[in-house]
Amino acid sequence: MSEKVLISTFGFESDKIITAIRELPFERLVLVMGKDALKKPGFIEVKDLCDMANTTLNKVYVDVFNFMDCFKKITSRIEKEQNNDNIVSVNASGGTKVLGDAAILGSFHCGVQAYHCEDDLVELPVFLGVRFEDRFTEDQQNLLKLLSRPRSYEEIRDSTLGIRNISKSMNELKRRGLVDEMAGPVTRYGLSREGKLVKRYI
Amino acid sequence: MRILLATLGFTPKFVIPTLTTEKGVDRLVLYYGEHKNCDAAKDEVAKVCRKMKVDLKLRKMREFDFMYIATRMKADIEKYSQKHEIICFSISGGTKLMSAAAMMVSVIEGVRAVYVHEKTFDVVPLPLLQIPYTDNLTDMQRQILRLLHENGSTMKLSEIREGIGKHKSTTTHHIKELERKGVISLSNDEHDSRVKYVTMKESAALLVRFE
Repeated sequence: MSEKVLISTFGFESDKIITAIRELPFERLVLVMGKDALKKPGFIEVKDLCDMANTTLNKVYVDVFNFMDCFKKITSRIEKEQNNDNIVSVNASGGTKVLGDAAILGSFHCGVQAYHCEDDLVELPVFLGVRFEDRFTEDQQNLLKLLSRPRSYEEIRDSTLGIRNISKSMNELKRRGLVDEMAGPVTRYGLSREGKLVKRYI
Repeated sequence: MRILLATLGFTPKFVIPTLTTEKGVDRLVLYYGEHKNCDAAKDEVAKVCRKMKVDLKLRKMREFDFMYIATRMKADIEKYSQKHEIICFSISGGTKLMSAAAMMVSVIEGVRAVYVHEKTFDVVPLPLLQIPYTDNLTDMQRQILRLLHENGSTMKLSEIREGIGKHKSTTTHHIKELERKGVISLSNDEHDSRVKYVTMKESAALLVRFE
């Protein structure tokens, strides 16, 4: 049976999470936080609140100053919950700036409801159910995978991935700043810095 | 002109590295808070900009109003992207709220974003697509959102149909799609159940582009 899961970033203070807990419906709370937050009074207060409300509390530990670590762990947790048919929402207002920003990006990547909660609760304009990879056609996804190392047009054409419309997909990926053209005796195509990052999430 | 956007709090080091790691910055648009320490940090960034001959545009922000900050950032991006190239948004300075707004606007507008690491001050690129998030909408869905935005965010379904000049079933199809995506909600008139109201989520105003 599906559960309503609230994934919330958390620092040392309980104020923001308590506002979110009050405003957002959930059956299970997942706190994304640094390990050192465990000993803080704020965490103990939230834990006590969950115990009293008979609500399960899960924890995901991250390096709160490392954006990519936060982002990867948040997106994989969201995906895990989605794969179990749970209804996920994200509160991105607790913890460090890095952690909060990673949670916002993770929500847009996975297409789940997201909130920012300072004094007021603001619902962010995420398209529900629209995932990051949905923004690429199958050909574009294959091309991104293939260009892990730079290749010529002929190499792409002869690959076993069977990319149907190479030029169209290539132009679109170039327009998005994901593929660079490398001049030389034979023109090669490779992933840009952003392209390499994007490929990791497809 | 190549433009760099950046948020700034008390620490100029969250902005200054991006002036050198990003090639050929002609103008820096700096979003900073009202606190006096932000002014001091802004002066330091200004000094570096003068030395590097980078034009500086200052945007003093009410630091704790998320929608206000996001709306102003989005307006700047729309304005600048018409004539200039926006290189990237450096989002690590300023309050958490300011940084979060910059993150969200970068996703929505398809602007490349970078992060300056809090301890090492290394510039970290973020996995964002350089295409507007509204590419996920059809032209008709974008038109409906614009119409709702121009009319105070709530309209009767019949008014939207008239506004876009489409058949009832076509309008309903697009409205249902927007509802499925979570950017609008539908409700019935409490006195007449045949009358339906469409309300746009407050933050969905950030998805409306003004061509």
